[in-house]
Amino acid sequence: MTWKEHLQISKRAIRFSFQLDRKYAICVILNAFLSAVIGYIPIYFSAKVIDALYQHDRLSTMILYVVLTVGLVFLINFINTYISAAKNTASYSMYRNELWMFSEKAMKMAYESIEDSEVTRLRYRIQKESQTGFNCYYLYHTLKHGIGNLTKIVASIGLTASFFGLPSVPVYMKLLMLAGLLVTLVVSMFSTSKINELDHHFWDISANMNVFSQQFSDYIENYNAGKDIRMYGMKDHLADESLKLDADYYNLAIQNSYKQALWSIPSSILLYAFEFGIYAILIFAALDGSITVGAVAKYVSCIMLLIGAITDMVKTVQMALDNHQYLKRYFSYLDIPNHMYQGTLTVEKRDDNEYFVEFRNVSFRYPNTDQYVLRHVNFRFKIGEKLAIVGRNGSGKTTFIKLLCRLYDPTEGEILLNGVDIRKYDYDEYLSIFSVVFQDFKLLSFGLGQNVAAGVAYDPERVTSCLAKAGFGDRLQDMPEGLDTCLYKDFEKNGVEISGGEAQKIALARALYKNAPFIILDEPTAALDPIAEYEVYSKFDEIVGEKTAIYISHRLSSCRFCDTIAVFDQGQIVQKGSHEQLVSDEKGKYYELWHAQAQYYTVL
Amino acid sequence: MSSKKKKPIHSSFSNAIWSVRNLVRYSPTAFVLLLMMVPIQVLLQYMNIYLPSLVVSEIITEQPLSHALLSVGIVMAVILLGNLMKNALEFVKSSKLSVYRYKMANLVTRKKLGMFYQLYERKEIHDLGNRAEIATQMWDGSLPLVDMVRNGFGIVQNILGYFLFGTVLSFVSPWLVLLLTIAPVINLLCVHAYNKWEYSHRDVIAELNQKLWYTTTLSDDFSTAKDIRVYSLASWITECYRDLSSQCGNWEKKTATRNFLSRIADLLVILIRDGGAYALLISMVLRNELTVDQFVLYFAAVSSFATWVGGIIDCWNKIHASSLQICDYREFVDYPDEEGEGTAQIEDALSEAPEILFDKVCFRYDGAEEDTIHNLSFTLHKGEKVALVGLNGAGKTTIVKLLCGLYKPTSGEIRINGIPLSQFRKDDYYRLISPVFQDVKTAFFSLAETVSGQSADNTDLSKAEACMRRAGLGSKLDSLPNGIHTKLNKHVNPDGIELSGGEVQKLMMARALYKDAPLLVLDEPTAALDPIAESQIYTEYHQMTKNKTSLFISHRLASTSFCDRILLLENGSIAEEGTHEQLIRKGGKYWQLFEIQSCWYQKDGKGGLEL
Repeated sequence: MTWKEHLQISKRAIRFSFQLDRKYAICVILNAFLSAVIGYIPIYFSAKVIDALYQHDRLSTMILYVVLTVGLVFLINFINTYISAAKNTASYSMYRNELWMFSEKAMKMAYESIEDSEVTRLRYRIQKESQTGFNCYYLYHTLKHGIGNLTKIVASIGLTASFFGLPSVPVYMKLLMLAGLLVTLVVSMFSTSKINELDHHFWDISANMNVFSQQFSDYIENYNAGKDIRMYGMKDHLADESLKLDADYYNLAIQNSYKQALWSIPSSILLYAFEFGIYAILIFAALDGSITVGAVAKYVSCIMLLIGAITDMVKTVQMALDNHQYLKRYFSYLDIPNHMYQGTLTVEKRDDNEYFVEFRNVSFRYPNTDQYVLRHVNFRFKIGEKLAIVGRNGSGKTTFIKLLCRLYDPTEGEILLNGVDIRKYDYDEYLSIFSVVFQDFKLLSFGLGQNVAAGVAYDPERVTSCLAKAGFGDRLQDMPEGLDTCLYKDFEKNGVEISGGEAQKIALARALYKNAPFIILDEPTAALDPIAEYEVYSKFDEIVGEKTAIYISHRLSSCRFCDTIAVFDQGQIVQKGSHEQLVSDEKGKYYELWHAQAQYYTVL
Repeated sequence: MSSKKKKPIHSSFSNAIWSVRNLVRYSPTAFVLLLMMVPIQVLLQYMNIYLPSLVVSEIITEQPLSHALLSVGIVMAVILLGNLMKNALEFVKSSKLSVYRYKMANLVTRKKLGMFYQLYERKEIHDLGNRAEIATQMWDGSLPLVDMVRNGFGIVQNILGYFLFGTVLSFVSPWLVLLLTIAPVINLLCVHAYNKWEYSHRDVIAELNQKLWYTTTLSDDFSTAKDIRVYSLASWITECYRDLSSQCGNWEKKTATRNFLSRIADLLVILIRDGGAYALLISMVLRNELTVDQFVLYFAAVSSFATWVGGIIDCWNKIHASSLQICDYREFVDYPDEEGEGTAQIEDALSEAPEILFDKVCFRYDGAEEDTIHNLSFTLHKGEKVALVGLNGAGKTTIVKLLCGLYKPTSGEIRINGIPLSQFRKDDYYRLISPVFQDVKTAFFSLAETVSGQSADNTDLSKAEACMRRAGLGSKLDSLPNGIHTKLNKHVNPDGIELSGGEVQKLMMARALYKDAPLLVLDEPTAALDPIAESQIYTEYHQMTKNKTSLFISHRLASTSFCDRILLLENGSIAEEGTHEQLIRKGGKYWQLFEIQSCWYQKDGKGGLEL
């Protein structure tokens, strides 16, 4: 990283740390400052007390010193305790804000980025790294240590400066002391930076191991995996694998700390040698009468604190710079652009539902892949038409829907709404004309009513009628708190567990509640048994009403009540027409699909 | 709720013994090193307060420089040596402990992997397992597994320090020792009161945090992303977050205020202690009862004395805290497992297609008021292909779990070739069955490893590939440059792939083929497949079931036409039983279901049936 980059990142970092939680940042600064100051009070005053005792000063002087020491310590501690209580409170909200910001980003990102595995890996990595204390949390660490060390450096220099001004101490001794200080500092800093380097190296390697072991334990924790593990005798293999992962990790960790321990030996020996040197000089000066007996301890303490503070400061700066790599990644995630929001046109609200959607020569391949999933698709939706989409797995049906709902933009060609490229519309406005029940839909573990309305406020009557239409009416009677009943148990422990079929009905009700002109159902009956399926089929017209409906299903029987069937094969629409038309074309794809399934039901 | 105090299953004493015994057994070096640290730590503490007073003494008694340097030099050399030794021991100790840690953690993993599934699925056992795992984790410098030993030695160390420093101070005044002992106790009482308050509100706060966590991590699950966009769920989630966040904030403010108040006592104690000590020591110097260097020594001793008293209490509390965690660990690792009696040999059953008999089997989930499976009796004859059909919630999946030996009947018995299932060893019994489950979770292993359930080295690669091709993954394999060595999960493996729902289902079929067990159980294996793939699976099913007994579960009734016999399940018991033709002729429930599902496939395409 260049210095310019470092500068940019650190500027942003400082701004960011205040943005996340201003109160927390301020508390960190004050807390660090006071914590550093408080150490110097006993150092300064106990020297005074010792001298006073030794020189048989007046009692009142001694009392003054004692009152000052004890009183100041109490006062500063008192303030500091208050600040650190405030800091603790703020730290929670800072932590929350950060998690939320991260999570909000995922909600506001273009869908394309969500499915991009580069982005996913980046996200995993950042989350993992944040757990080690790096990334944004490290900003406060830097702030704390920076301020603390700066305070110590100033205070130490302030309290030792008087020694160098003493005329009675020979100059060579002062120089000797400075030289010793310099050598000790250089060696300390050198070994600290070596130790840092080792840590970095270790974190770099272990970051991947951590992601891996996390996934590993997620797998082991999963109940469905639990069945496989037992039935397919995977226990020993997995346990050995897990032991191996751990062993690899700890071997690295131990090697790392071994090297670090070796690196720290010379500098810690030197540090003691230097301390002894200072003692020697100061004892000499004290015996000589140049300094007082109390001052000896004061100077030694201050100089040792100074060395510690400078070494730590260098380390802090170095680590802060290192953290820039993490921050760069972190900010790069927050900066992932969302080009979906460039459009500005509003979608005309029409009571007659006259929305023309047209695919014009649309081709699509997923980002970073070479293979086209859709090729030269041309399609016009007729208003109020019931359209079925069928085709084999991987033929492009779901991708077609994703493009229609603008979760992705076409690679080539364009999709038009009322003759205008959909990219020109405001994103949220465009999405408002679609109700979709995805194959892998998700309900949230909040209240049933809120789930149907997809928001906090809802119209209970409308929710109830949508649920009834979706076939959930009877079950609603059993819900302990009616529409307020929470689904699942993740959020509310009194929540109600629902089956896959029930969930599908609620998802359908949610689509109905939205009351959008387009309704899209992707395999809505996969989890339903024949009777429930039959109910959905037979009430399809009633459920869908005048809306334009698109229906994807492997159950070809469902196509029969659709006006038009579009058959997808290898990314293209190969056939289009009514069931009767298509089924009579014996060379067509539809014929093949239909008979593959129908043969099992026509044996009667 | 948790206000009800549950008595820990092991006493602190028993846990301490357990901790020591395990540590001594698996990592004796770490144990010895922990012991050696005790005297070194106490000595170092003493030397650190002795050094400044020595310096003062040398100066005020006006010793020659050489004498002063020698004595200061010796003390410093001792401190240096002590520190070097401490660091070296610390290093060896922590590396030994980390090996001990992960070996003990592996026992938890093993237990989790092998425990009787019905037990493991119970939430409290699952939670216990997670708590046991926490006991093996290093957190904030503490490792519950060894904390009882460490803090035990901590108490010894603090008592040593207490007596050493106490003896030094008792030369000044025994009253001082008493004051210094009582002061930290007062402080601790305040802290205790605060902790009690915090503890009593723990559940409320934990619940709030749990909710907040759920809300915040909703977007972590990328499968929610589509719904978030299409239904603009973001504003709803945001509103929930803001509400919870402010509730949490209020609690935190309350907690912080109380914490602050409890800390004030600490500050007052220090104020009185230091003020009192200064007054006493200064007056003694003035009365010539103390020299200045003694003053320095004693004052330093006073300041650090509190740490010894506090240390004893702190270690004591920590021992009790970690005792609870050791309980969790022991309870989970020693949890009585259903291993099976092991009186019957599975080898006899493995050689040919077995006969399975459900004899008046009932099954009720924990805490449920009704049986999910009630008085269920049926037989799967040797080499027979049976279809099990029924509505959602009829108990099909529960039957699969019972048959697989993952659940145990609440009453009644399952017999294999006439031998009760309970007589087999659990792990042996699993070898009898190749199941394909409805809900699938794949990990990040390679395709071949997923199919064999073993590491690549222990996998018959050509067999694995053949099985995948048979399951319909041939063209997929051909499109992959690394073939069967391609890893799953591209989020973990940069060169990995993601399979579609249908492909995963085929992979699971391949796994069942690879295992090649005499009893085949398929639970809705075609739900995510297109008609042609579905039809292929049906065709392949004939091949798969050759010389095997098999059970095919589906609510697509198409599956029934290629099975020898059909069982219709309703409300946990068999409502109808027979061949397809028999049941159709009977005109009962099965006929009705078949009619409903097949009507759309008839020529006129009219679903004429009224329910």
